[in-house]
Amino acid sequence: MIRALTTVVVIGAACAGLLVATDALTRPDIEYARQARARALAEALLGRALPEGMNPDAAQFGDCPAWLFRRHEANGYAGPIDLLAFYRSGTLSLRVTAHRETPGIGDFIDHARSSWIPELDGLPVKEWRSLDTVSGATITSDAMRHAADELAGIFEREVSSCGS
Amino acid sequence: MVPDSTFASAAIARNPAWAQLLGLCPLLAVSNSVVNALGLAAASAFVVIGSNTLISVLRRQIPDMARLPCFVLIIATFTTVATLLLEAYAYGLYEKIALFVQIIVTNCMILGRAEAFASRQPVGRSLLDAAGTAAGFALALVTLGAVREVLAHGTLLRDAEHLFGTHAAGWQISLGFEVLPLAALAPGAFIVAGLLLALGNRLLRARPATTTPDTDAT
Repeated sequence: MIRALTTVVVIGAACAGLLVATDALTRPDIEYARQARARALAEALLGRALPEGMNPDAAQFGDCPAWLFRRHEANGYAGPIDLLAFYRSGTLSLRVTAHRETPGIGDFIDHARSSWIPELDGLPVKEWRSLDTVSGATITSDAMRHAADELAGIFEREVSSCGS
Repeated sequence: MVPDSTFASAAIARNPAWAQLLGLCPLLAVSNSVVNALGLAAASAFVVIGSNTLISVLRRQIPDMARLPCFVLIIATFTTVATLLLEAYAYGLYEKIALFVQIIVTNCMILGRAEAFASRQPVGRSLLDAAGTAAGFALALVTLGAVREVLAHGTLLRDAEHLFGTHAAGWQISLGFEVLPLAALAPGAFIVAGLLLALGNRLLRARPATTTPDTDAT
């Protein structure tokens, strides 16, 4: 019994070491790929290229911003839902950059699989707060509505503090 | 049994997909294009070859009562490494097939070979068996992916840049027809897989029966 437990612990520790090493090796490339993906999505939402050197993480244009980007994380059914939010003139657009929602049920939030998110592009902030729940995916819908509410609050505070 | 027959047996006679019907969930879900199929085949090959070789190396050190937890630990580790590598170096493909790469850990094909073969055989034979299993699964995936992509989209190697980099953007071959768009969807996957399975059975049964002793069948 002791030998079995020792074996499991030793192999587990070796596996953990391999995972830590792989994580350290791949982390910069993964972050670069995520940034590039977020930038491409931001440019598609904006309709033109982002200014050179501008990071879509909390990017804004001008001192008194005409538009704002922010990356955000919502609590989905099967884990975090990573979002890119775009605010312009009281309207909000969202794109999901990573999620683990159930395929065929909760993945309607993925713009590559469903037109649900693109159809909400440019929706006024107050309408995001009263979105209908998608049948069968209550937790995912609530996560998106809650995220939109939080983001709208952040964006509205940033805009209202401008020039005050 | 000589080493060569270990590989051939694992790849053809005991093909994990067509002969044993293992790993069908990712097989059907991901095989809507050749590139997706190649991505999953590469990830599965990395996991089955890496984990089975390591299990064979450690087979005398792992007590019987701890073998399943140890096997699952090793397989899960290789699966996570494959997922991280895919996300780092083929992000476009990762976005499409990540879910099915992550569930390689539950693929009976891999645990089956670890339990039935790698944990009882020397490293060389285990490596050959794992390579044969990986080749057989890749053969099934790519065949199904190619047939479905041709039927549904009239193309081959679409989105090749997601796996092979930007220089592969022009690799797509357009055949100029779309015979069966249904083939890209789940029902089409079942229909095409069923027809390929029937064809495979027909071809295998047409061959004379082998007398190879089946000492390591799963």
